[in-house]
Formats: sequence, structure tokens, C-alpha cells
Amino acid sequence: MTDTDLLIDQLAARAAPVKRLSSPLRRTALWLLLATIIIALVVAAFGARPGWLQDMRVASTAIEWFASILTGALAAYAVFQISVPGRSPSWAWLPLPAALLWLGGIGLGCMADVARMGSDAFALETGSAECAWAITMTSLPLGLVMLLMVRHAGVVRPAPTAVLAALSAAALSAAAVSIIHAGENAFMVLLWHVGAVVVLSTLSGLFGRHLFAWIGYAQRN
Amino acid sequence: MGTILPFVKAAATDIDLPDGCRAPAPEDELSDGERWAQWMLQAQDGDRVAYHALLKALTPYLRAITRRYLGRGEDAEDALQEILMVIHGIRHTYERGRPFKPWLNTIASRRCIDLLRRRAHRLQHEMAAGEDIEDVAHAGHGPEDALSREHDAGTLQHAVAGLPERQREAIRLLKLNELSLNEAAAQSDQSIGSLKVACHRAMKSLQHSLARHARARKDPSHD
Repeated sequence: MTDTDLLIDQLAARAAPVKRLSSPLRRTALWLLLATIIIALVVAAFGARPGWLQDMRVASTAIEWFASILTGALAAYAVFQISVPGRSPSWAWLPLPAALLWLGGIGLGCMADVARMGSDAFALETGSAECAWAITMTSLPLGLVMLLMVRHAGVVRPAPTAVLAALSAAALSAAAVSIIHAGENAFMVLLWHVGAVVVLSTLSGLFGRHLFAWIGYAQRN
Repeated sequence: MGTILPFVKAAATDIDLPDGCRAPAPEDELSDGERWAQWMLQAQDGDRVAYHALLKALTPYLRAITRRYLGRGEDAEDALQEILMVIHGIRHTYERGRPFKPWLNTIASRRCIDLLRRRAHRLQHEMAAGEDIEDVAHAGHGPEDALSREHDAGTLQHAVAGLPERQREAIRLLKLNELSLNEAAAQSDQSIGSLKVACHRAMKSLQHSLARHARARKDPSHD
């Protein structure tokens, strides 16, 4: 009997029943529910800033906010698609239109700020850097939960899955931080919010393979 | 890690074999992919006989894939075993109603590509970290001729570098890093059983190649 035959015997002998993955749509809904709870807790802890609802009446702000939510949701759906062997990797592009819309909304905000404030619209507000920190801190638990949900992606498509998981978590966190944090011009939103999302996604892409290797593709038994 | 029970092959007469295992029946007209999908669904429900039949049936198909990526030899066989373990680990990701072969091919090709990448990295790393191996080669030799030790270390390094990837990993974890089997299994994708097998095979290969080298040094006319 060869080593391979022996291995097959061993694997078959410990083949306990397994719970099949549910559909990507269902898993996305579950994760979004979880993300909503975490974000609601963060918003409840820090309190929504006064005037947030009034700001949402401005088209560019509303577009930016909803587009960041949409980016997070579509990136999550893409994660649950591409992490499954045999499903098309093209799903990875799904959040791109929403991300472009998000950037477009921020661009519109920048133009409105320039029309209103002139060159002051690009004034660097270092205090806004705490937004990037808040986005990172909110993204970490969200991203980790998602990576655990798709740990099998470690042997399928680790890097793109990690990038999209970080994009999803960070885009939703950016939307949450917009509710809490006040007094930023659009340029600061571009710099700190989008910047944080880009940095987190890039780092996840670079270290995703190692992260998944550390988590392990299956529960060790 | 759970206890591994020996797999008992059931007699065809006293057990309900998976559909594709039965003698001539309409199911025999199923394509490989359809039959494998059916067995996998049964395996997901805990049917060990179907699972065993599935893994057996997949082996030649997977072997062809690993040989295409890694060539013939132990590397391809090691890759095949690793793919079987990955299939086992993520068998819950096969979805009912979806084609089986794309699921299988993604797993197999990703593992082969990862193995090729790891093999390249490891070879680079081993060349750069020759000193570590040199230290091991010195262990137990005593303060003898430094030139001879250096030569021995180089020989050992060369012999280790020539091992298939899984065997190199087993040697590195169990012999060089002196980890226990449990610790080594936790740090690698290999099970305790596979590590034991890989280490045993590696030690045998090293023994052979070092003995061959020693003979050649004693009697250069044989070269």
C-alpha cells in the first residue's frame, strides 16, 4: 500500500459530517448584520455628531456616504464569491463602480469646498488624522470576523480575498466614522478616510497570505 | 488531532455503496464530474465509503495535474497528498448543484502554484542560510579537520536541498528546529502521520546520498 493510499484511508476514516457553506448572498447578509451591530455600538459609544442629518441633505455628502456603504457591501459579496473554489475570480471587480462613485462624491465635495472656501479647502487638519485611526480600529474586528468566515480562502485566493475583506471592513467603518466625526472638509475626508481604506487594503494584500496561513484553512483537530 | 482509525473497506454485499460504485446501473452513465459531485455530497453528510471512493477516484486525475506542474517524481506525489488533505480540510466549500471539476481544479492548481512558489523561496532561503545547516553538520563531529567539516556541511546542505519540499519541511521542523511532532504539525500543513512519513523518507534519502558521497570520496575512481 502506498503512502497516498494510506493517507486516503486515514482521511476517509475521519470524515465526519460537515456543514455546507451557505450562499454568498446569505453570508453577505449575515456579515452585514454583524457589521451593522458593531458599527451601531461604536456610534452609540461616541454619539452621532450634531448636524449629521442636515449634512446628508447635501448631494455630494449623501452620495459619498451611501457609496461607501455600497462599496463595503459589494466588497463583502465579492469576498464570499471569490473565496469559494470554482467561482469566478472576476467577482473581485464588483465593488469597483461603487468605489468610483464614492471617490466621485468626495470629488464633488472638494469642488464645492473650493467654490465656498477657496484655497482653504485644502488646508491640512492634522486633528482629522484621528479619523484614520478610528477607521482602523473599527475595521480590525470587522475584518477579522470576515477572514475567519472565509478561512478556506487561504488555499484558494488569499491575497485578493484579504484585499476585498479589508476594503469592505474599512469602507463600512469610514461610513460609521462619518457619523461620529465632525468638521472635516472634503479634502480631509479624501486624505484620511480614503487613505485609511487604501492603506488597510494594501497591507492586507501584502500580508494576506501570511495572515491566512496563521489562521489556517481549516480547524485543526 | 483526533485519533485516526484504520479505514475498513466494506463488503459490497452488506453495505449501501454510493450510487457510482454499484455494478452496471443508469448512474454509470454519469460523467466523472457528476459522479464525484454525488460522492462529495454524500461525504459531506459523513458517508465514509463514498468519501473513500471519491478520494480514490480523484487520485489519478490529481496526479496528472501535479505531474503537469511539478514533473514526475516525489514532489508530484507529495503535492498530490497535500491536495488531498486540502480537499479534506475544505470539503464543506463544495456547493450542491455546482460543477465539481472547477472546484477541484481551483484547489489543485492553487496548491501546485503555491508549492512551486514555496519551493523557489525555500531553495533561496536554504542557500542563504547555509550556515545553519553547517552547524548541524558539525554536531557530533568533534574538533577535527575544519576543511573536511566544511566539505561535509556542504554535502549535507546539497543533499537536503535535493529533497522534495514536504520532506525538507519535515527535516527542518523535526530535526533542525527539534520540534515535537505536535508542534511541527501545528506549524505546517502536514498532519502528524504525513510528517512522520516525510521525515522517515527524508532520513533514508539523506542516508543513501551521504553514503554514496562517502564511497565516492574514498574511492574517486568510481566517479
